[in-house]
Amino acid sequence: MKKSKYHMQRPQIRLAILFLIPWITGLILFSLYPIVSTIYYSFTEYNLMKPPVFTGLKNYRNIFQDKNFYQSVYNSLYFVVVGVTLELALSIFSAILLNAKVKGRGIFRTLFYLPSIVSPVANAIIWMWMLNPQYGLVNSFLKTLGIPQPLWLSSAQWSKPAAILMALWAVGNTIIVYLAGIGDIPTEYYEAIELDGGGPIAKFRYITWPMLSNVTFFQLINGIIVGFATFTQSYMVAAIEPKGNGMLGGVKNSLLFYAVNIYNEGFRYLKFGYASALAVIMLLGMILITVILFATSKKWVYYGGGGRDE
Amino acid sequence: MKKLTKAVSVVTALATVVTAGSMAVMAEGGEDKTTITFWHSWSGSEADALQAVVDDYNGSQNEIYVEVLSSQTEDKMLTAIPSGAGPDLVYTADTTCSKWAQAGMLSEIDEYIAQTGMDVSNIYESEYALGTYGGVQYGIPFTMDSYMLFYNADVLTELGVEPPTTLEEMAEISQKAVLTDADGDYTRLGYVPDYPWIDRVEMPYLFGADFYDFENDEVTCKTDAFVNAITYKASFYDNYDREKVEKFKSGFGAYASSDNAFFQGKVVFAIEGEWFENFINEFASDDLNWGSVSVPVTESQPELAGSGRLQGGMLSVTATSQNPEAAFDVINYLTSDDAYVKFCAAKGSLPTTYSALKSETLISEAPQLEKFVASVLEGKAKAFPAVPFSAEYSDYQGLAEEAVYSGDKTVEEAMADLYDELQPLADEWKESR
Repeated sequence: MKKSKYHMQRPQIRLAILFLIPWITGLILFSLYPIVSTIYYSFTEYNLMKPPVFTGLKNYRNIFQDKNFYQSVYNSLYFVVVGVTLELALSIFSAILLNAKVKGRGIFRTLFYLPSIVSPVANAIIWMWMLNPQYGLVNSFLKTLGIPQPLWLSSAQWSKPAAILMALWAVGNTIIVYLAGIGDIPTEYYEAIELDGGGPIAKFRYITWPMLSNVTFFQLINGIIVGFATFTQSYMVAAIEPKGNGMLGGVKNSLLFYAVNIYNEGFRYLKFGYASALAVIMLLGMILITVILFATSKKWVYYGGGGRDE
Repeated sequence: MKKLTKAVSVVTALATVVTAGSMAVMAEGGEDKTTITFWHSWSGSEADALQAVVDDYNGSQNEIYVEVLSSQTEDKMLTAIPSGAGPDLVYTADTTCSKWAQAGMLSEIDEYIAQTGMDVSNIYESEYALGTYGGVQYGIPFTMDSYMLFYNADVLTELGVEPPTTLEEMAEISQKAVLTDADGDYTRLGYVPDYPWIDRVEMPYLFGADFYDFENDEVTCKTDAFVNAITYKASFYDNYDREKVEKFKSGFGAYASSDNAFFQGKVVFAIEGEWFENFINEFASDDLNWGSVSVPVTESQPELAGSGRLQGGMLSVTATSQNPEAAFDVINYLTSDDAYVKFCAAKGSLPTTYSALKSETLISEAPQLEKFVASVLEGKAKAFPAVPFSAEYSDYQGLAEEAVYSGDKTVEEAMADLYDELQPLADEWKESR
């Protein structure tokens, strides 16, 4: 489809630029400049005060011999793979339920969204108490059911599931996007499948899921990026004595997520050059994952309008 | 466009008001006075103790005005100092000083020491050394923590035992003190080697170990003494059920509160510093019967008695301070006898100058410090060495100890791995000098 040329009048262009300035300034100052300087510092030894010393690829070579790097990649992958899968499943399921025409739908929607407006720090503190092995609500509930009670954040095996649980509580934003997506699905499709004798499962399988694939695609990429940047849970667990061991990585470094490791290397060990190299690796990793997802998206993502893609 | 102009002028006007406001605050410090900003980590009564002596200083002269910001974390200082808009004067942990000195965050102060004629021979030697990096002075010790073994006297009476005089006895009493409930969960433990914090420094010193060999630039965590110390700590977990201890610990309340596990009688022993009596008075119930003795050593090495850990807190002038001389003058005042004794008596902490340590006023105003002063003046206690990888040392050692307690590694394996992790940092440091 050819677009007809649209000539903006001069004052409008000026106005447009004026309105863009805050955003462009923000982009340059707070995103572009930090990214470029991070790339530069990743080739240096740098501790904030002294001028950076160029060390070539040394930081990158060291990364691959650093066991904390592998530990943090494992922790973050675990968090992202399990966490994002559960997040998507839970959100789509909740969104379908919240779309049902029942009384008090508005109240249910509000209740489901409410946790998302709680600050991440408060969220972490609440969950640390809920998951407290001795006094926590979760374990006392499990106890009444006769189910073994894990040590959650006090154990290396259970700390990541606990962190995932903390994150899952605040899926309200994902639910909202799914809800909007569901709202966009024309009701005729469902009517058609009803005429063919399809039930709820068929409706989900053949209409809801494919029609929401573009939303899922966005949530997937977003979830992965947010997941790799996870920081709050580990920080709060370490900050609130005496439950943790005082270390940002939690018990046996089981909560040493990628972003936490970057923070540790930079702010605790004062190796900002090395931390920058870790950040660059993360950026490249994110780009790679996104490219792969985009490449495979043609096979499963459906955009409404004129067929798949374009 | 008119509306926009209007909006811009409103914003400008607002900005002017705000700027004028902050100027007014600055003027409070005095028109001609040099303002020194001082950041420290204390809060509550400890911050009040410092503010009192700072007020004295501000009132005592017309040249310098000290503005104090309490509850500042080192993370925050770290980002503020390079910006140039951060503090002039900082109070940091001893292990931070060498690291920040290496990073160039702190001013060299030898020149000011000479100018003010500060008598450094009056400063506790091993503490003073914590402010030395590469032969240059970067910090003056301001606080000094020394440790004692605090015990729950009622429990010892209940068990019919005397306070321990050896580490072996302490382990034995700890074993006897264990109580469990109907589910087999702990309700009381003796000594917990990783509570209230994983004390990574005290025990190796009590076994005669060191952390670093400065002559050969070698990490010394593989030595027999070091291994013995960790083995001793780990021995508690041979008898405790690790998972159940974790569960029990998770129910411990905040340290500085009445829910502190020691105040609640949940642990019988705690290795704590000179501040602890103040905490007991402030937070524990009056029913708590407690006592304290020197942290014991092993039966076989009685000569090591008193060789535990010293932990210092340093005052340093930041590298970006515009008025380093004035900032040092503040340090000089704070560590001068009268001010120093007043502060230490109020906070309940140990001064680092011999003259203040020996001051009668200190003991008469804070009698709980007497035992600690005596122990410190014995001169056997040591601080963690001033190496620039102290944070890594502490973290990695903590993880190594965790691996031992949970049975993942033997002590020897864990210490060998720890050595392999730390020695490259030592080598790097050596090369950089």
